[in-house]
Amino acid sequence: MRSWILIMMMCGAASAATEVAPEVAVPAAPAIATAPAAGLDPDVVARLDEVDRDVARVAPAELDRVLERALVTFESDDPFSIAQRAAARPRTLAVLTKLGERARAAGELVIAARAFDARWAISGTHDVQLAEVLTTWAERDAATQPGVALYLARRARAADPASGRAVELDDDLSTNHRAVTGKLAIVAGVVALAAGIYARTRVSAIEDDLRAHPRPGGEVDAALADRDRYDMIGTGLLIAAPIVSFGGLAWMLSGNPSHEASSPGELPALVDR
Amino acid sequence: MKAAVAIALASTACVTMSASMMIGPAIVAMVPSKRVEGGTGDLAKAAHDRLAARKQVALAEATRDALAAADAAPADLRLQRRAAAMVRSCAGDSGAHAHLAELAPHAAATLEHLVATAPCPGLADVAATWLALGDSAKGGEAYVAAATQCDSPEAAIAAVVPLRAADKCDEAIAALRAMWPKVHGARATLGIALLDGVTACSDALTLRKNLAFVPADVMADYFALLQARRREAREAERRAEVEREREAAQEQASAASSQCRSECSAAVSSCEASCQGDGSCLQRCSSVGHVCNSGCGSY
Repeated sequence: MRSWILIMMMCGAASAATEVAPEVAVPAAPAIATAPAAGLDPDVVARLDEVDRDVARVAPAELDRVLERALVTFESDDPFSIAQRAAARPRTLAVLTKLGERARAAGELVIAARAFDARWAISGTHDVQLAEVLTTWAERDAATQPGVALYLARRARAADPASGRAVELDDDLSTNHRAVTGKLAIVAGVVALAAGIYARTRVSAIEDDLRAHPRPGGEVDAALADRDRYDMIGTGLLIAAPIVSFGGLAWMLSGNPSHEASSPGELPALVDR
Repeated sequence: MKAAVAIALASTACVTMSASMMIGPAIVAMVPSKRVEGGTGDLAKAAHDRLAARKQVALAEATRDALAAADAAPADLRLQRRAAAMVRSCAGDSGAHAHLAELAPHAAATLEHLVATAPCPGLADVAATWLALGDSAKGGEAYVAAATQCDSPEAAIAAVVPLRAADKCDEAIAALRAMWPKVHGARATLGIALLDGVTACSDALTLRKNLAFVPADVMADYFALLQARRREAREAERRAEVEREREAAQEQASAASSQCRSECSAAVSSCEASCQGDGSCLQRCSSVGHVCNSGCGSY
C-alpha cells in the first residue's frame, strides 16, 4: 500500500514539475506571450472542435487517430502548448470521455483504455471507468500475456483503488498458485517419513521380542509375517517420503511467477503517468 | 545377535538418508512462496518508443496547426510570431526536425507575411527562425534588416554570428557601424557587445580599421578592455596549468610513496622469514619496517 502511495505522489510531482513559461524570449525583439489573454488559441479550439466532430463520425477502429489528435496539446513540449494545457483541460476531458465511451461500446477495448488512461493522467483523479476497462483487458490477456495483464491490473488498482476485480486479478497474477499443494506434498513426505520410522521400530521390536521370549511355532510364524509386512511398509515409506517431498518442492517452484509487470505498447497513453 | 545389529544399522542408515534428503524441501516449505515484486512495472520498449515518437509528431502537428491559425488570422501579430516560434521549436527538436520538410513551404509563406505585416518585430522573429532552420545567410540578412528598419542595435549584434558563418562579415560590420550612434552614450554593456561584434568579425590587421567609426577615447578604453580580458584569460590559463601540474605532482608523489611502502613491506617480510621465529630478530625487523615506512612520505 505504501509503495502505491509513493507512486501516486511521484506521479503528482511529475505532473506538477512541468513549468509553464509565461513568455518566449526572442533575440532583438519583445517576448511572445505563450497563451492568449483569455481562453485558448484558435488552432487549439479548432483541434478540439475537429476531435469532437470526429468522435461521433469516424469508424470505431479509427478512433485511435482521433485520440492522438485530441492529445496534441498534452504531448507536444513546446511552451505554447504547455501554457494552454490548463485552459484546454475541461474540453479535452469531455472529448476523451466521449471517445472512450464510444470505443468501449463498440468493443474497441484498447482504444477505450487509452482514452480513459489519458483522461486519468490529465485529470489526476481516480477513474473508475479506466479501472473497469483495464481489468477487462487484463482478464482477456491473463493467460497469454501474464506480465502485461499484471501491469494492467496494477494500473487499474492505481486508477481506482476500490476496484475489487483489479485487486483480485493483481493478487492472482502476482501469486504462486502451486505453493499450497506443493507445501502439502512436502508435509505429506514428512508424515510418510515419521510413519516409515514407526514401521521400522516395529520391525526391531518384533525381532527383539522373538529373541527374548521362546514362543510356539504358529506365533513365531505370525510375528515374522508381521515383521515382514512392517519392513516392507517402512522401507516403502522411507523411500517414498523424499520422493513425495521433492515432488512437492518441484511442483511449488514450477509455480513461481516467471513474469514481471510490463506495459503493453499502447499504454501509458501519456508520458506524465 | 549379529543379525539384529545389522538390521538396526540398516534401519538407521535408511532413516538417516531419507530424513536428510527431506531437509531441503522442509526448509523451502517454511519460506513464504515467491510473489511478483510490487510496483507499476516496466515500460515496454514499444511503449517507450511510441511515447518518444508521439512527442515529436505532436510538436509537428501543433506547429502545422499554429501556421494554419496564423494564416486564418493575418492581422493577429501574436499568432504570426507564435507560428514562427513554433517552427523554431520544431527545428530545435531532433525528432520533429524530420517533419520540417513538409512544413517548410507553409512556414516560409507565414514568415514572409509576418515581415510584410509587422517588420518590427517580425524581422527579428524571422531572422531567429531562419537561423533555427539552418540558413545563416538569410538569418543574418534578416537581422541586419531588423537593425536598419527597427533601429535595433541588438539585432545588429545578433547578426554577427550568422553573417560570420555565412562569410559576410562586411555586412555585419556595416550594420554595427550604423547602429553605433544608437548605443553611444546608452548602456555600456550594449556598446561593448557591439564593439565585440566588430572584433568577432575582424582579425589583428583589420580590427583598428573596422573600429575607425569609434571615437579615439572609446577605442582606447575598448583596447584596454581587450587587453585586460586577454590578461585575465592568460591568468586563468596559467592558474589552470598550475593546478594541473600540482595534481600531476601529487599523483606522482602518491605513486612513489605507495611503491616505497610496498618495498618496505617486502623487505620486512624477507627479514622476518630469515628470523626463524627468533623474537628479538622479529622485533628488529619490525623496527626496520617502521623506519623504512617513515621515510616514504605521508601520501
